[in-house]
Amino acid sequence: MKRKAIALISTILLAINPLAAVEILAQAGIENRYFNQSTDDYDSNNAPSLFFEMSVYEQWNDGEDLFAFTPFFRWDKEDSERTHFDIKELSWIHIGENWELRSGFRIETWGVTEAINLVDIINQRDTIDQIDGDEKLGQPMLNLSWVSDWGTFDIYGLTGFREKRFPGAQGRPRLPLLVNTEQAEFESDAGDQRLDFAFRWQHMWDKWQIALSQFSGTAREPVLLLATDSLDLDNFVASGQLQADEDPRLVPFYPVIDQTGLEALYLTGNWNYKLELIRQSGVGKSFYALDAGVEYNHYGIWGSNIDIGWIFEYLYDSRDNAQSSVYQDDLYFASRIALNNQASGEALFSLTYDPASEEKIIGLESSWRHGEHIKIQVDGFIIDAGKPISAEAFINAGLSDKPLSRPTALYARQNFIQAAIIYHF
Amino acid sequence: MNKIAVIITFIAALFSISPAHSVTTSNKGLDIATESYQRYAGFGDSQANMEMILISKQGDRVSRKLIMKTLEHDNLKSDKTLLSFVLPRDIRGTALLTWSYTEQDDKQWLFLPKVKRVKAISSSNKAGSFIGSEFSYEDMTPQKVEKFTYSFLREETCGQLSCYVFARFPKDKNSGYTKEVVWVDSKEYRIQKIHYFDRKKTHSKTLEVSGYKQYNDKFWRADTMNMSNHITGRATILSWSQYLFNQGLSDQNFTTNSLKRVR
Repeated sequence: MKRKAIALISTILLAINPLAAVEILAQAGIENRYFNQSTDDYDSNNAPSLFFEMSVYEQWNDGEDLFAFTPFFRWDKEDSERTHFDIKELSWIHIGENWELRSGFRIETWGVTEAINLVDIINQRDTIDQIDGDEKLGQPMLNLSWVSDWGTFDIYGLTGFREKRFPGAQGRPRLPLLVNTEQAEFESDAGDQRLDFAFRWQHMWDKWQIALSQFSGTAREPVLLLATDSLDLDNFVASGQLQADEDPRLVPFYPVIDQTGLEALYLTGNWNYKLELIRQSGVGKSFYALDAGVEYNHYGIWGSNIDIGWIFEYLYDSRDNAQSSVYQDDLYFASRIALNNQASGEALFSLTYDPASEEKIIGLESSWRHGEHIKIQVDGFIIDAGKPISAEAFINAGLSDKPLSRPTALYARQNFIQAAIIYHF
Repeated sequence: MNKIAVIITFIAALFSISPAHSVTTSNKGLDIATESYQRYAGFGDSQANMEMILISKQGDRVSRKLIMKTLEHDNLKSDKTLLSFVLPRDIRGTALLTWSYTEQDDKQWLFLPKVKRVKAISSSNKAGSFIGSEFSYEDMTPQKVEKFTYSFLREETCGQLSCYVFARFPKDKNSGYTKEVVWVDSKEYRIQKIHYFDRKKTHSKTLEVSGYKQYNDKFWRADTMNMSNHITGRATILSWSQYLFNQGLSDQNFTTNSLKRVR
């Protein structure tokens, strides 16, 4: 993959007129994750890391051609799996009268809801880099976008697959079993070379914004299978115990799926109504998942510059097996605060609550600017789900193909708060 | 305003008759506002650089830089504005697209480059602070004449010039204001000063506009807009430069697709 990417860079660079306008931006950051509950499994309660991202933009032909290159690198002291290099963007966009052709490595984001974006399926999420799902891996593609009076139409040919990355033994948060990504399996005979397709139509009229999307290709989220060569299964079924020398692993299996997505947004005054609905087929029975809710915004509270938004969403997933989502029947409450001060201070507090199991996920995202160049971010992640799930209980749930009663407990006692200082060049 | 005038204005509004034909005391205020807008408008498309200086109560200053592009549309019944952020660097590429209309709610989209997401936002944010400044969203774009009712107040000298002073009352319930008192010079109908009255009817902010220059032998544009907030003691200065008109911008430059690649 890397070799291919570098060849592409030099080809594109050669094609560029040296007189074109070039813009280079960069950011470098230092981050530390602090875990407040220590266990014997981890060497340290602190996980420091460094990252660097550069963005090169160039336009020529009166802005009708654009080139973007965004390499990203992170080094993590504790988890070698989190240390990685990625090309988030290496693209050429050509703009016609009411269409544009975008080719190369890119990131596309779909969706309108706050808690999760079920419909968002073009890119692989890099949840080991940041668990909020906002970090993604660059997806190679050809995308034709056409703007008309009947809305915006996008077709995508996805010319390569990015596998999900999983934490190593020292990485947190992680599942009770490690994932061996080198043994990843694919349903498609073409393996990770399958050509996937996607289509999206988006339109707005009056206060409505609607989008319909269809994806056909290799699932971004793998099914995690137990690597049977890593343990004596008969012995395990009989005794319910792992042997002292057994360290079972999971392997990702990427099925071929079809996913239909619907997005709806209704903006009316201070109230915004949001919906994302998907139907996915390909693994076992087809299923539905939903995220729907409302957001209320209050601008300039008490005559100040401070804006506060309140968000309430309901999350549903129709699956009733081991593949079921953590958000199978959950409520999401969040509050977003923008101080609108010189430092552009912002924060988002969220609580995801499962009324049946009383599991809670508490999230915090906040940022503060210092001077012209420095941004400070503080994020937190807390799970309140009782006792952690042992490797044995996790394997048993998988073998019986039953959903876990408290799936978030897989990540119990891995609460952390992280702070990052980022310098923008 | 007497009761008959109120009724006439109401009926005029009901039948969409131009209130200019009815004889009321609001008439002259509307005429001046209309003349002022007509002299401001008609440029087709325009572009300008903006430096925004936020001044705290203690006098601390921070600066933000933006580029503003505007396209007039549909015989001035609507226009499209694209604001893109240049500085500070961490929000470079962030952009706000507004389609504003005289007869319906505005539409707005924000592009967040970090997550590559175009987010439709409700135009009820009108009264909200624009990126931490003393300007609210509704202060950032020239106000359409039809979005207010008017009442003429007086004529008086303003600096070297003589000014018409009128009050305008926002029709939009999302507006952060109950009244705006506007000073327009009698020579070129340029806005010189605005007193803003908040929802509690308190005179909360004052905008002072200065450094007018004429471009393309036609359009007067100001260099400096100074908004002071009398309640918080903060102020924001907008300093404009590199005004360009009729650069051949079209609808194609004001779509959610173009929002994603604004630099």
